[in-house]
Amino acid sequence: MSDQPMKDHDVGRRDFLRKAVAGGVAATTTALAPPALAQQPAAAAPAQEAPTAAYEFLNLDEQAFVEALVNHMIPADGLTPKGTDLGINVYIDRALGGAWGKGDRLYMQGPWKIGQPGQGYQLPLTPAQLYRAGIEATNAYCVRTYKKTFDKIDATQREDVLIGLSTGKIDLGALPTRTFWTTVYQTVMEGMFADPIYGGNRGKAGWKLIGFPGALAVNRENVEKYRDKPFPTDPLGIADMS
Amino acid sequence: MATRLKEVDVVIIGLGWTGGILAKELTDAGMKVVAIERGETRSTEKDYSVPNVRDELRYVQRHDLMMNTARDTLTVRNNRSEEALPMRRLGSFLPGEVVGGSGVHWSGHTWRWTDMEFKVRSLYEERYGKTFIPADMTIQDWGISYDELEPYYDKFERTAAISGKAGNIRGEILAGGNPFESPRSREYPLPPLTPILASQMFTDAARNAGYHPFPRPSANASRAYTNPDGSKFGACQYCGYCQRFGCEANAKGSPHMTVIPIAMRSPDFELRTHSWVTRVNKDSTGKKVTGVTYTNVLNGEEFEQPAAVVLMCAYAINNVHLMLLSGIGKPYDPVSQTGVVGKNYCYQTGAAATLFFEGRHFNPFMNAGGSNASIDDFNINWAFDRAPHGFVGGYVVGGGFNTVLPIGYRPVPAGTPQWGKAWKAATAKWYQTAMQISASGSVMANRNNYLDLDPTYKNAFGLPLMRMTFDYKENEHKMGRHAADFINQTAKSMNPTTMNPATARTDPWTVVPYQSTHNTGGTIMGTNPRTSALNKYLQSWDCHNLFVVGANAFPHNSAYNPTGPVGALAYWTADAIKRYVKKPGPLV
Amino acid sequence: MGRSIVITLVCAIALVTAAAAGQDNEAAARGEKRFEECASCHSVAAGEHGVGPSLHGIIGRRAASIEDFRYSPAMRKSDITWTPETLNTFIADPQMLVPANRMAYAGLIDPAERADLIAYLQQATK
Repeated sequence: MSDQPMKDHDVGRRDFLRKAVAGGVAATTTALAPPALAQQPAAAAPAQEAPTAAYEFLNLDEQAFVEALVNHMIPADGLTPKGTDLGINVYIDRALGGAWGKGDRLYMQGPWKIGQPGQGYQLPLTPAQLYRAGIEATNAYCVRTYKKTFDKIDATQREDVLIGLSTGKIDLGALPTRTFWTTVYQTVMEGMFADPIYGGNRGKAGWKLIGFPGALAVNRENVEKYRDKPFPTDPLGIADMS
Repeated sequence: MATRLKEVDVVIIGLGWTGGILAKELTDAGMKVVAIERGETRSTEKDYSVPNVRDELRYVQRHDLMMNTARDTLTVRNNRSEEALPMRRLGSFLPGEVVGGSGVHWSGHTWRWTDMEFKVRSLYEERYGKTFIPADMTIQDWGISYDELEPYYDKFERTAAISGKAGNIRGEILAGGNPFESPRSREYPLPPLTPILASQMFTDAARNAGYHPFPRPSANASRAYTNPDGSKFGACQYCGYCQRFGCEANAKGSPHMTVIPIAMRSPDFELRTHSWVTRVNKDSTGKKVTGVTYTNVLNGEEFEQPAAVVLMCAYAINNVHLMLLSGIGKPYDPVSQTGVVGKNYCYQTGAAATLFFEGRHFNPFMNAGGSNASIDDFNINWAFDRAPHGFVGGYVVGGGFNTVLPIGYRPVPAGTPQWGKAWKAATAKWYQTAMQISASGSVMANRNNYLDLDPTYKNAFGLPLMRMTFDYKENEHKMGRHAADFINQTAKSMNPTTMNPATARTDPWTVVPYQSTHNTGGTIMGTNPRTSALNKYLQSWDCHNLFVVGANAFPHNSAYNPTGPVGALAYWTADAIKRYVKKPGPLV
Repeated sequence: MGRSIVITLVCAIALVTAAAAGQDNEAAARGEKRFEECASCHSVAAGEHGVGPSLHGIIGRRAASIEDFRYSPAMRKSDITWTPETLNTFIADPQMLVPANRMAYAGLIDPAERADLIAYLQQATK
């Protein structure tokens, strides 16, 4: 029941941003509204020209953590720009600050029990709360181990930390490590491959990486025409057709 | 205090495929029908059109068309010694929650279940003896036959625009179809879909090995079509956004663009959305129901809607929940094995391999919901001898794609790093070169798999959640191993560059990740009120003016997708209700 | 004599015209069947919008000009006036003529089938 107003709020907010751009306050929107910018066709916002991220949810420590995380997981190379240039950090911030992060569709009544792994998510935390607690615990681990927070350690150390999280070998205390990691990994992949209207996948670089054509999909003739042949694609997102 | 409304002939709880079919059929027959649906109205025009429907995050990751677990969910556990805990978000299965129900977001796979299911106990006992069926396997005959259901399958296939190739018309075996299917009276309404590369490769491999591949029958119109009711279908565009999405081309047979708009045109039909039925009410004798109590979820107001006939047409397990909440029928007790409501809850099992072929281009974004070639050699092929393998039931194997979108589908060979440059390179390299072969397997009823009310957790209306106690048993483990072996053997025969082999599901059932929205049983049909909740017309043995329509009526689950018999039984029940209203009382 | 020639000529012309109209009608009748491809989204009745806009009055109309239908930006910017010729090009491959338009339709490849469909549209959308 409680999710509906949040969802409306979220949609309303996006509408507001879109109107703000259209209404001529665009001079400030580079800092304010990366999602709205990402709604423009690829040509208008090349992946390389990443606007400075402005955050609605993550605090300064968390911003540093998430930026380091997505740039480590998605480094720049010939295939794609780095994670922050793809807007994955922005995606994560918006997802956590929005309805999903606040527990939309999540059954949040107790009693709370740890349960069996097969019983699924059982923490009394929204995804945003889980993320926040997980970053804090991971940074605490990094400080214990390396005397520095995650964003300050070097690439080899970051790699070790991510392996430790993904295998559950790092102990995050009260927080089940694999649960935190699963959420982190899910949001990074969403930020890379979801439609650009959500702030990530900037320039549709995630889709271009694999050759996914995006929103346009009238393939009735293409099934035969391109059977076992490469399909030439310049992907379109929702914004390109809206 | 609930506001009492004027009595109607029929009240339908939930407006998906079954509710939609019954709404149309019964208003056609002159009855006054009210449908009460917890979700909202969504349409192809406003909601499922391009570009907004092309949103994997919204529809796949965030379950936009699905049941909202913040409001109502179930608790789950593997066995009675565990404490059930709430499924706090959706995972393993995805009931729909809009007008059209799960019929909006299904893929369209439409099978005719046969006497292999309907007479499961008799057939296995006759061939393999009584001891072949394990003592705790509570399978039983359904009390219905394929021949009885055939005209209703035919009707549903025409309503929903099924594309396929018949393998058996009136006993004549036809090339290109499923040779094991039971005789059908005529061909499918539409020819099969255009095969994609993956389904062609699987077809070739299966045929070379002596099996009998055929295009999977599905409600994706292979060309434009007008069904017998006049509902207009566009041609499938192989958009690759089928499962979990509404269809932008009106090419996927769905209740919101077929039976429901027809019912809506009748002055005798009324739809109330945002309305949540909390209880079906009984009269003082307990032998009849009097109507339903529901809450308008927009403002919390409570209503009582009296009706001469009540039809539960919600998602299968939600029907069971409402039966338990309403105290209709004796709840099943697994210890004494008495009672019927909650009995024989079943699910499905499966196994899948991913095959990588360097240099090939599968274009995994081009497919229909039914872009699969299938074999039934290990399912309804009775010549397949189960004795050496020691399991009851079977599995269907398919090769192809259905809705593989990039957040969820980026196949890489096992052992590939999960992030970084190497991950990216592998993702880019293999995306186009991978295909899947997968099996969907039956789950036989077991005395310890059941549904009842949870003693602890409550929904948004303060009512107990339903508790699901389920695990795969040795029967399913054996079948899973057989299926995985077959898949891997077939895959190897195709000489892939590399493959991620199939493994049998032998670990305890888990509520994550997604597996199948084919939950069955709980209020099963049968021939005896002591062992079933419903008779063969899906009429409650306890309250003769209550019908409970859906896969909740299946005494066990087959390898097939359930919507074929769900649709057919809805038409079958409609005919039964037309007889019932002339002379109310038990139909059996 | 001269008069009868004139009458004969007039009759002959009328016959030819009637024959042409008959062919149009036959094409339109075939096209009506072909319209099944379109009918799940489009109506030829005025003001009746489905997934796509009403096609009533389409011949001679500018693309994206019905006020109460939300068109794609691609269609709004297309600068097309619908004639039998532009419709022919569009229906053959909608994404080719108007890239990123929203119509969920890959096109009608057969030119004869398109001609029939357009013959039908010319009659039915008046």
